[in-house]
Amino acid sequence: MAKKEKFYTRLTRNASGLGSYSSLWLAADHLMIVTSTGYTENYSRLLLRDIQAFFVVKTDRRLWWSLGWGALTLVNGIIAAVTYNNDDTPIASAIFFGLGLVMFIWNEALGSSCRVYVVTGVQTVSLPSLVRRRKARRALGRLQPLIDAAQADLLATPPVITAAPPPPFARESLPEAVEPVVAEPVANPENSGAMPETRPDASAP
Amino acid sequence: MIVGPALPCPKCKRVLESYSWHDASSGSCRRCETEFEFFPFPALSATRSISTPQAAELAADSVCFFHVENRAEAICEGCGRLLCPVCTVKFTGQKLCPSCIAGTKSSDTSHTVRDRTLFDGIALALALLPLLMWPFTLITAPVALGFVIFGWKKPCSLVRGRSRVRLVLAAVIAVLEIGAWVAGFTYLALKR
Repeated sequence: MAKKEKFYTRLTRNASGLGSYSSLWLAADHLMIVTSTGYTENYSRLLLRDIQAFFVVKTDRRLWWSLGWGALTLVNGIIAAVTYNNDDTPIASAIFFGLGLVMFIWNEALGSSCRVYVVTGVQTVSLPSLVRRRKARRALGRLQPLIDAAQADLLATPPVITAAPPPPFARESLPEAVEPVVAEPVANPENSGAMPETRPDASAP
Repeated sequence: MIVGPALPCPKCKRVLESYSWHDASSGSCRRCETEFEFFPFPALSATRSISTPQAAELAADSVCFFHVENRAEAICEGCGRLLCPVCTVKFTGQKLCPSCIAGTKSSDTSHTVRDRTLFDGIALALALLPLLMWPFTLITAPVALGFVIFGWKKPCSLVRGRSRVRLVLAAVIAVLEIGAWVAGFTYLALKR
């Protein structure tokens, strides 16, 4: 008997939150956020053809975890050193020192942290399983062609990117005539290589 | 200066002003100072084509099941009814009529279900966790076995598939615990 085809394929692994963990799954026409407590699962679906944009916001998650694991490593390293100098065997502190060091290195190796939001016509939803930029880049890179294909039949009118009047507090500092500007899909030097490249079809008139 | 779409800031939910955008793919909210990268898709600015029904003119024309004045242009893949463009709903890769959509909402299908109770997870937790304070297993082991029986035919996780490994494991552990209690009580009874 032929094996039944899977309806959902995993896009991200579980990312733990407060008392629950979340993962991202992909179906033929929608994206599904699964939030599980181990005893219940909640499903949020986002149709690929309804996804308007992704926001990727940098967060301090990596910094805080590094500080936490770094502090654990440092404190236990000091205790282990003092214990060793007193001719004792620092078993417990050595274990915690090793654990802290491994977790510190692991946290640094995962790369910078971020939070990803999906914008649809009616809501902006956070994707809690995408908390590292590298992983987010991989997932978005996989999603982009699927979303493009799902939205291929839309009547394409690219986003209007034109000149705007400056904010009130900066009005005097700007030249009087501001030529309409169309944003070119130029890679931002600060962000270059960090995330998938600018989508030329979306920004060009 | 760049004007991006008037979307709400993902963090503070206030609508991003025109001067919040650095370029087409990045910006920062001026209120909460959140720096962001932005990846737009055609749905952000595109307009969807609206299907308009054609009036049935000939007697031979097939008409919509729900609107007899409209010519039928599709067949519901759920119930086979003839449908006009107004009644044709594209849903999970199928063309369905509103009544079939309503039917899937009430039934527990993988396309529409919003949450599931994981009886296998509950049973396994009830079988394993009380081992840390083993006297509780006198109560939790039968309860775990009850959850295994109750949840055996219930739908399980939508993404993990229909594997019953955890239910079987919970049942085995619960039976062992119950067996251990029975053996213990029997031993005590015989000793007296």
